[in-house]
Amino acid sequence: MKIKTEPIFLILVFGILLFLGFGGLFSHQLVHDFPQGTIANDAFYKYNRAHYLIESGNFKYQEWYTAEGRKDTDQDDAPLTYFLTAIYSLNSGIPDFDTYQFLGILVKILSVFVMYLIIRRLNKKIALAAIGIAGFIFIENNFISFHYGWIPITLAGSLIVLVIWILLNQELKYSWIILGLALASIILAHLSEFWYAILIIGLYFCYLLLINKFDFKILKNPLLALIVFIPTTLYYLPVSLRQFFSLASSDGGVVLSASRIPTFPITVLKDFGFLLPLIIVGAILSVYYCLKEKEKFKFLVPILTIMAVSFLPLFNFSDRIYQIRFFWPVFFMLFFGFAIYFILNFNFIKKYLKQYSNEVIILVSISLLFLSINYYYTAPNPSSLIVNQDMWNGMQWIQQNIPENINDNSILVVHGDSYQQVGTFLMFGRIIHQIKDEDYLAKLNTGEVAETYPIRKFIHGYDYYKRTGFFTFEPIKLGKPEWEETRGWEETDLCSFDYYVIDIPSRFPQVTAYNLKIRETLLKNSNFKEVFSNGWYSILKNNNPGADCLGE
Amino acid sequence: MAGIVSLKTIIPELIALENNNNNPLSTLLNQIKQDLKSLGITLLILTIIFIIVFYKENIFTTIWTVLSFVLTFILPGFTLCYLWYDKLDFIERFIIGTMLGLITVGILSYNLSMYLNLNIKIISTIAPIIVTLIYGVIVHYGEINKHREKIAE
Repeated sequence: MKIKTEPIFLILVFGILLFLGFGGLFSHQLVHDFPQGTIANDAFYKYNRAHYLIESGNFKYQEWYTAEGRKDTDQDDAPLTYFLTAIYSLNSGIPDFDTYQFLGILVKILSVFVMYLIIRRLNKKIALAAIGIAGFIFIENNFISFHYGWIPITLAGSLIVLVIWILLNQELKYSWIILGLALASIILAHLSEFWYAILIIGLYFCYLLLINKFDFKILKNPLLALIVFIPTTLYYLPVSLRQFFSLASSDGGVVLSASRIPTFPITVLKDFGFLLPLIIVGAILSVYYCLKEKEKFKFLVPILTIMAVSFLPLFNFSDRIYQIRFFWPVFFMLFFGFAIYFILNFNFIKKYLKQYSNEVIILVSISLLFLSINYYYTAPNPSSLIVNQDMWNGMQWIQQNIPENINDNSILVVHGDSYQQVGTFLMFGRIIHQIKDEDYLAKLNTGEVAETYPIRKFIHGYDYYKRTGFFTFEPIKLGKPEWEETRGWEETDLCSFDYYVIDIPSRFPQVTAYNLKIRETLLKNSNFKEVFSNGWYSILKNNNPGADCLGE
Repeated sequence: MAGIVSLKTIIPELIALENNNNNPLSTLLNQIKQDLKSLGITLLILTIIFIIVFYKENIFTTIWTVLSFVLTFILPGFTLCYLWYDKLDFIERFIIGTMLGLITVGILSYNLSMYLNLNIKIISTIAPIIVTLIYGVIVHYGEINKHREKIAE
């Protein structure tokens, strides 16, 4: 019996990628006590969307604790990732924050295999060789999207690969159904990738029209896809259109950016190290080969399109477009596969390897996969980031013990290292007030606990909408009009809150000392009582908010 | 099987086609039988891989994680891919089916939530079942159409 090498190879690659994706970030565990490896705002507020969906049961409204307590502001974030997270978290029993990362890593791995299938339609040997670069999906900055919580972008990027597969498999009967579904899923995952997908589809069909002498029957599938796309996205389309037009008309401009310096770590060509020359050679070879066989050029059109998109920020477009570069290892697979295949087809090699060519390509591919891991992979560190066990326990205590009533239970979070990423406030699940960093530090330097500090209520943006009809929205302005200017900072009496959340440890001993001083000063007052404490937090309850708390 | 037998009795087209002595579902059923073996082996290997990668996790948690992923996403999408079982091999149907399962369950869940105001806890159970059933029906009629076209040729 002939052993089927392809499935064994693919399963082995899946195992390797799973190990790379989860080994470091998840510490070889599926269930954790608190979110792992998250370091940025987005990571907190995005996973929290899924959490709030489970908690509230629906996705219609923004989290009340980010919207000044209002429970009627329209949720306008693209919903797909949060629904998938909530569904899988509920069905598997894995915590929502773990599920969020889990799905992101899994769909990125899946995108490698979808690209493998795309290349396999061109040439199976090239596809086998292409896998050699797959490890890079979790190498260098390509892993950033998981630390930053950019799972919607990861999902949308993977779906672009699926769209390419569908385009190249149009001869399948009813393929318009899945084209419509794929497009719907992209717009429900992340808006910008939807426009990339439209560009890819547009250019792809332009190319097909050109080589088929403008036979417009070719356009049947994308037109039929609208039958699926429109009804499945009907509820969200007005929201995304409103977002699109309001962003397009905003002063800042969503498309053109003033700065060329990316605001986050991006993937650059040199990240591919010793594989880069192979990618470049492969790109040249593939273009040459596909130009010779015009029918094959259709494989290159979508990949060249998305490659071109990923360079747009160099021409002053928004640096957010760079996010698609986290999928470069997937899009480079075709070029890389071409290069390896070309090398193994040199006459002197081919002569000896003819009989076992598939097996040899697999060996080369696996070797390159291991080499790239060996040279370039650094396991991500799940700890030492923003959240830790004690911090998480404190946040959970607040959610379980402080009632939602926003007027009677105001919470002041005193300065802490983690709150540079304001998304952390969402994990309290309550409306949070924060002290302005600069003034906190100024008062820290004097060493005195002041009667007032510039304090603001944490609101995740001032402009919200309420959906009044299917296509109608009523704008809602949160906060006070002057907050646009002051960003919500108001000189506020320190004694006016019901609860005080005080961070004890800090990278700076002065912060620890000052926070302890605030704590001790408040506890001297008989109205104050410590209701929770652990290695991270001391939470105080004020039984008489507004009354003097600093005097004896 | 009982479901398929009852479907045969209530769908006149199927009876007519069966009378033609050329049941359109027989090839599909054969394919499903073949796939069950491949699917079983694949899922067993995937579970073992998950157990190895998540070796610090309770083994039953890992098994349930894989199983719930299969039931929630893979099965619904894999069902639709039977539309093309004669064009796509098992590997293709498994990979593409997983992606299709993910997106369809997600899209349906969103719409169920928005239009019917159903709680996500209910949706998480019913959405994969609804998608699997709808795709089953699509495949069923797709197969009948395919058969009709063959006869017409």
